Parts: sequence; structure tokens; C-alpha cells
Amino acid sequence: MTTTADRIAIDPKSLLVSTPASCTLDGVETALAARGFTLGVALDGNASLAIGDWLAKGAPGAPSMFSDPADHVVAGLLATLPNGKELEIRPGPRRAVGPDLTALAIGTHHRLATVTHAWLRIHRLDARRPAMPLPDTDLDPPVNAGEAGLVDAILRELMRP
Amino acid sequence: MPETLQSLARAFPGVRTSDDAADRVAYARDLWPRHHLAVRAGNVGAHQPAGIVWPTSTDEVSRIVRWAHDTGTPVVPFGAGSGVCAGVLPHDEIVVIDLKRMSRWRSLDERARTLDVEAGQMGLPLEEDLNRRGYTLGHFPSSILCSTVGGWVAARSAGQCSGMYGKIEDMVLALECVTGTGEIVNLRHRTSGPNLIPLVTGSEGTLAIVTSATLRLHPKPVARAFAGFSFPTTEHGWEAMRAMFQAGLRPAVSRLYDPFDAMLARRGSVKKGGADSGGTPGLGAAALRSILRKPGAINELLDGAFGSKMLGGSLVVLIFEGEGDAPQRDMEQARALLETMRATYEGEGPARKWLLHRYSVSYRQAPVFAAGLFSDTMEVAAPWSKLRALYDGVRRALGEHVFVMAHLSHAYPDGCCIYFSFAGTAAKGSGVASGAGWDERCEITYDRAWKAAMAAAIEAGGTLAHHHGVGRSKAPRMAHELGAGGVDSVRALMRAFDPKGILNPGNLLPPANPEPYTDDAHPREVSA
Repeated sequence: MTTTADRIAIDPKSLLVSTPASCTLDGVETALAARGFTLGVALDGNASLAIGDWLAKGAPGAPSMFSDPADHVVAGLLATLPNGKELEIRPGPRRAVGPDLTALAIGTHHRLATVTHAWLRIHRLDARRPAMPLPDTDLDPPVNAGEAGLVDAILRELMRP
Repeated sequence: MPETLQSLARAFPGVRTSDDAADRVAYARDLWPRHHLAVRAGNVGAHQPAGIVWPTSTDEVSRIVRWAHDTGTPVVPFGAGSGVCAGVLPHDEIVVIDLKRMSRWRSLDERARTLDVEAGQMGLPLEEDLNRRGYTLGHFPSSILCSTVGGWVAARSAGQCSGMYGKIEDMVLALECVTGTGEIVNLRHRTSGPNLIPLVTGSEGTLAIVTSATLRLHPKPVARAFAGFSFPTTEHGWEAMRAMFQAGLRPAVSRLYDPFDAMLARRGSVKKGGADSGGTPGLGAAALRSILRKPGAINELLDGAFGSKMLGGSLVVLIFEGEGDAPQRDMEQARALLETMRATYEGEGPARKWLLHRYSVSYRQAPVFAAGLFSDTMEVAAPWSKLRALYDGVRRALGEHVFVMAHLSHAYPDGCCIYFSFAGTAAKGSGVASGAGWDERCEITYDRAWKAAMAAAIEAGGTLAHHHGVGRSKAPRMAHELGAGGVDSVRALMRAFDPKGILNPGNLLPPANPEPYTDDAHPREVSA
């Protein structure tokens, strides 16, 4: 029987794990812990989520991107677009090559893209974790009409064959 | 007055417009170094827009874009023109929308530590005004003297303190922008729902015109700790940077110079060739012109172990900043770590000197152009596990054509950016038409170097750009960067935000039917 540990690949030099989206969060975390690493996310209530579903929900339990601006949770991904085509975003620390297309998949509840594979940041179990304060800022405001209209338009265009 | 601008001026009588010849030349280009060759060749008049318009409010931007949408007039948003990738390359039907008259602070929320500021705000005045109120944005691009908030967002800019504060995309909490239909939309950062900010950030004026941004602020640092360390080789240096970032240390500034760049930094050549200089080519440029005839041999000599030893090894400059004794404690921890990795402590001097001259790389044309040469920079990035391949591959590819040096100034826990600086001269031999002029032959070398380097970056698993963006200079390679699905996705976004394709057409992705993209020093096509 194939275990999660067999399905993931760790890049210890870059501190990245490559994982199929179908692996569960706790499965990946357990496999990482056995090698001295962690995803560094709070698993409360999300442990049984598949990685793809977790990302579709916006990676709940992960530190805010503002707490350590030099770090990020998702380094790369493979996803399926609404028209069935594959989107590949190769793992990288940062880039400036047009729109950040990971935004099509993260937090969009499978509407604009469905993650099939992800490269996630991992941390050594004993590593220090920087955290900058972000006082009194609403990081989950309701979607306004303009944004909703754009999401509909993006979906319509992504469905084109 | 061209008919396009007449129509615009009639539609918006209260809005300042110009089709003045000098204005049209001034807005014909950004700071793409390839343009400098064209200018040196005497082609200053190419790529002039139909005219320029200076809106003063989001409502005016909206009405102008709506007019452009209705009339099918292409427009390009313009900040301060400091881009280096031909993100601005107008033609005589394009109207340039300059946002610099939109530079107001809309609201400073001291409780949430955020600032809503209009897109035309210039970088340095913004930071200075924030400092006076006890804050910093933490964004210090070397173009800070000649770039705007809107330009930073459009190009996905990085600053010198990215190790602590991140890139501009890590600072944006909300954006107000105008889509290609003229609709004003307010995008908010959102964790558990759609977050459209990352799509507009870095879209280089092709999806929407950013009119204001709500940015996260930090307390102005009250303490700093400085240090410089030398290493036997460049790789020893970047392994040290990796160790620091993976140990959770976040130096505001961490810059690694390869041995040649380190030698220049130690001697202070950055200062001499920078903004404070007279801008005339000195002995360095003359010597460079001579050695550039054999760039491959020079690069090989300097990049090897012998060259590294001869030049004094690589140099890492570190600055920690924050409150109380935290910076000093972090520096002590960093020093203890680095000294287990073959670092030699060089005191505070190199870091203090760097800080003094941090903006010396400026908007002024590099003196080597006046010496008949050219120079440019290429900033690529990769995970740490691919950095060696990226460094070697791009260095080798560039080194065939130009003299190359490198520094690494944006590190993260999972990878790093390599910033190659290069200088070259006129091509000769096969592929060069007899009778070709000097600037035309420089352009041949320039294009050969870039083409080879971009292919090498992709081959090594790196990205084509870390913070300069794509523009038209890298657009022909975007299919290799993004893959077919990525290109399709970007085109889908363009149709969703800008159904008529009036926003900076031809930028970011090559047009479906490529045309010769420039007619500068000589007419030619550039392909992937």
C-alpha cells in the first residue's frame, strides 16, 4: 500500500515539499514530522482536508502572508482549469512574470482552478518563526459587486476551450 | 494635433493633454537599455504616442478609459518611466495616461498602520513623509527616485529590504483600479475567498490601471546593526544566506557580491559610477571596452577559483533593523552562524558604505553607453536547490557574448534572486551584415546575450524575472515561462478585465501575429 510518505518528495535544500493534492494535511504533516519537518500550519479542524481542498479554502490555519513577508506558503502548483487544460506554476521563491496565477486556485473554492499538485514551504521543527504584527486589519472582507463581476468574467473566459 | 488627441481633448475639456513634440518624445520609451542604443544611433523619434493625458482623479481615469474603450483607442498607463523591459513602447495611435498628478494620500490609518495612497505618488517623497510620521513602507527599489506606487504594483517591484518587508505584493492590502471598460473596482486582500489583487499586481498595465493602493506600514526602525563578511567563493556566500533565512533570521538587507562585483564594492566604484558622478566614461569604461573584445576568456578567468582568490573572494553585506537591541542580537546570531561557514568578518564598514550609496544606481544612463558600449541587468530566481544550475547556466550563456558579474540581494527561505549585470560591445563575424553600423552591431550582441540567457534561465528551472517584469523584452519567452496553460490563463484574464484589448496592447505576451517589435538601431524581428 502506498503511503503519504511515498507520495511526497522533500527538497531539503529549498525546504519545499512536493505533494499530490489528494494527500491529506495530516498525512503530509505526519510524513514530514518523521523527517524533522513541519508545514507550520494549525491543523485544528482541517487535518483531514486534502491539500487541494485546503488550498481551495484559502489555506486556513496557515500564517498570514503578512506575518513573515519574506516567506510564503505555496511555492508552485499544478492545477486544472475549467476548460480542462493544465496550469503549471513552477516552484520559485518569487517572480515578476505577469499576474500571479496561483490566485486562480487559492481561496477560490475550485471555481477558477483545481489544484492537482502543490509545492509547499516546510520548516525544520526546531526553526525560529518570525512573526510581524498586523494590527486591526480585516483580511477577510466580503466580496464586493465589482470583484464578483470580475470573478464571473474570469470564469467565463477560462471556460473557453 | 493628431485626430486621436483632438477627440480626447474635446471629450475632456478640463483635463490636461499634450501632443507637443517634446512631450511625445519624452513619453516614447521607458529605460529599457536597448532603447539607449537606438537613441545613441540617433533614432530618438521612434515610438512616439499620439499624445499624453494627465488625469487628476480616478473618475477622470475612468472616463478617459471609457472613451478609449468606446473609440477603440489603445492606452498605456505611465508612472515615472523607470521600467527596464519596454513595458512602455507606444505607437502613434496610443494615448499615454500619466498618473503623476494623482499623488494624494487618501487616508493614513494609524491604528491599522495602513496608508491608502494614489498611484502617482513618487517613491522617495512617500518614504520621507512616512518617516516624518514615524513609519516606513519598507520598500526601497533602487529606482525609488524615479518610480511611483502604481509602477511598483504594476511591475511587481522589489526593494532593497525585501528580506524583512517582502516585495510590493507583500505590502498591498487593497487596490483601486480601472478596468478596460472604464469600470472602477476595489479589490481587497482576502484569505478565504477570491483575492484578485495578485492578478492585477504584476500585470504591467494590461488588466487594469491602478489608481490607488492601500499599503501596510511598519514602525520606522530606531536601531540598526551592520556587518560585512567575505567568503572564499560566491557559493559559500549564498549557502550562508540560505542558512540565515532558513534559521528564521530576516536581515533587512542581505547582499552577496561575486568576487568581481565585490572588488568594485570594496573600491567604491559603485559610488564613482553612480548618481553622484559626472556621468562621463572614465578609465574603467575605456578598459572595459578593450577587454570586452574577448568576454568569454575574461569571464572564465574571473569566475574560476584563481579569479576568486585574486579578487578577494565574495562579499556579504548585512543590515538588521528594528527596535531596541533586537538588530544587534540578530546580527550576533548571524555572525555566529556565518563564521561556521568560512566567513571572515570585515567589520561594519562595507554595510555602512553600502547604505550611504544605496541609490547610486539611478535613472541616469550608465556611462558605458557614452563610451560606445552597452550594459544591462537580468534578475532571475530559483529555489535554492536549483540556484547553482541557474547561476552557472545564465552566467555561461551571457558570458559567451558579454562581460558579466552578479550579486544576490533578495533571499527567501526557499530560494533566491540572482542579479546579473553585464556589459558588451559591437558584434562581429558571422551573422553581422557587412557595412552594419556600430550601434546596430551592439544591438546584435545585446539580443544574442539576452536570448541565450533567457533560454538558460528556463532550462535551469528558474524564472525569467524576479522584479523587473516582462515588458516586451521578455514577452517572446513567456510561453516557456508559463507554459501553454499559463499563457491561456493570462489571455483569459486580459479578455475578462479588458474585453477590447485597449490596455497596453502587445505588452507581457506577444501578439498573436508578431510584428517587428522595434525599429530602433536597425529593423529586425525578435522571436522566442
